[in-house]
Amino acid sequence: MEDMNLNDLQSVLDELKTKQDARVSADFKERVMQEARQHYGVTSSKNLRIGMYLKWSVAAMVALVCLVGMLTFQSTPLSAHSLLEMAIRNFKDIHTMVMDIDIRTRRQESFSYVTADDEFINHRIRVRYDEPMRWRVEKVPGRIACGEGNESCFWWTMHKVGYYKKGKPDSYLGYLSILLQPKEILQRELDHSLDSEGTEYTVRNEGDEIILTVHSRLTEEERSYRVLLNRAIETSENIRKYIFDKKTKRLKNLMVYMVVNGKQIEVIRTNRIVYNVEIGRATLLERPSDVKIDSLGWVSYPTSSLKNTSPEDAARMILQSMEKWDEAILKPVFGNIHDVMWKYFKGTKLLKVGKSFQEGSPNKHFIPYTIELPDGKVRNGNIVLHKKKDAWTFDGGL
Amino acid sequence: MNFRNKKQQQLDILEKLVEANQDYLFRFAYFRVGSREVAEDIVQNVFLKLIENCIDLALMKSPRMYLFRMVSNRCIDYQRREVIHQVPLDEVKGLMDENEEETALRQEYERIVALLDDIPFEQAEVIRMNTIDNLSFVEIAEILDLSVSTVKSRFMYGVNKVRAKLNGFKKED
Repeated sequence: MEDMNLNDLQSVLDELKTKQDARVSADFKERVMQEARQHYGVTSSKNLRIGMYLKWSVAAMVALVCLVGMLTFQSTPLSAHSLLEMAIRNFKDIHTMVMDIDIRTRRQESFSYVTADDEFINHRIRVRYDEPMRWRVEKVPGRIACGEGNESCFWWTMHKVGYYKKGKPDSYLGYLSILLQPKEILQRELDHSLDSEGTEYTVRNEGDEIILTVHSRLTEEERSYRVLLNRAIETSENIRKYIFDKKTKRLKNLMVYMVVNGKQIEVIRTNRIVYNVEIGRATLLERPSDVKIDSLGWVSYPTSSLKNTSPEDAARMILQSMEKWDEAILKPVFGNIHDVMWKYFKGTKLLKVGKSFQEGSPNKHFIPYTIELPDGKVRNGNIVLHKKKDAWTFDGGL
Repeated sequence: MNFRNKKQQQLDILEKLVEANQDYLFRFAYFRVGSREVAEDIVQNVFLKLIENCIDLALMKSPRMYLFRMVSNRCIDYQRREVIHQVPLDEVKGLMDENEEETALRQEYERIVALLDDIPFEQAEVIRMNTIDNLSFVEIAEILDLSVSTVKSRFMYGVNKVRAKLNGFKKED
């Protein structure tokens, strides 16, 4: 950073200050209070009076239910709100974290793919909350993402290659990057609790633990724009369970359940979360010994020839090109892992391509496929394609 | 406390919260969404959510910071939605009909947007919070859930970039 003297700083700050006062409209407060009074079924702010006819209205009933909830909630040991607040405060003294977590996904899928249909795959997450944060996620076996600040690496040990790019943890982890910072998960829950239509919160004590259960039934719009772990899973109805240590109020474990056809299916569960254990800084960015340093490249998505097509057509074109290995199509798609992919997939036959779906980010598409590998084995999966500047590039799933 | 008193207590606290924070929150929202109508809607909805979601206002420890955080989240949601939504014709018409004061405010918004346009979002946000919303570094750290030192360094990096940009303008002049 260049040095800046005080005069310089002051002149920049002067430029950034607003010269124009911004105030709400004169009737703003009255509008808010009018709405609030209507919500409570009250006709005047200073002389509270429940109108006779409103006694039986839906609005009054809703208000009553709310108030009963509010008054009785205080008799429980802790409200969800207070519990989350305390747990968040307790992160102040946390410098490192190790989380062993099982996620229902597939070995070959990207980190952000979660499904109710597959087996649990174990992930180990280790983080040092230095400035900048340094982290490592190992998806057993063979997929490791790690990074520091604005740089991320991905070690793909099965194919002995590595990627490196400028980008925050979500570059490789997608929405699951939030697992690196449980405090952030709790903060979002706390924010959401202030704005949470259709969400139920229950808090109960069990031995040495306090269990907070959040049952969300989000609309599609809310799902697109809001809550944390929902965005990484396939259904909008889900249950998130947080287990806190009663004494320290620290988060000990978390679970996420999808609700599919009324049935709860556990899709994410931690086996343990431990804090402030010794984690060597260097170990977090360690390169697996079988990944050669010369395989590393700055990954900027190669310009793909697959432009202006649907994700299904792009997937079909890529997978069909593998049988005779059409380099003109596949080289730009696979970039610096082209040679590795050629070795494993040349001769692969496409059997079927299904309807695409989106997860993780607006530009990321998962396209179900069935292929026959060169050794005759049939594989089902979801090829992940990333859309950048109207061109499709490969992002995993094989 | 009976229901009636509880309701009155909620309304009284809400009224005080609105009085104390409405202009700050509006300014915060306005300089992120650039529309009086949208900014007032966002702030109004945030106040009303406190009541609708049965939050006991008497128990809230730092409502001001919550309100800022909620308004901030809603502005981000709005900005995300606006990327894909078209501006309705009547909104454009509204801009054309606005009075002098409103025009000056909108021009001020556009001036700030132009200054912070190519600054990384995280740095621009800290700068806006400090210089426009008059929030202290400690308050910003609380709202964004960052350490104070991170907030300060983002601020200084951002300000440096603004300075470089202003110097560029001067040279061009």
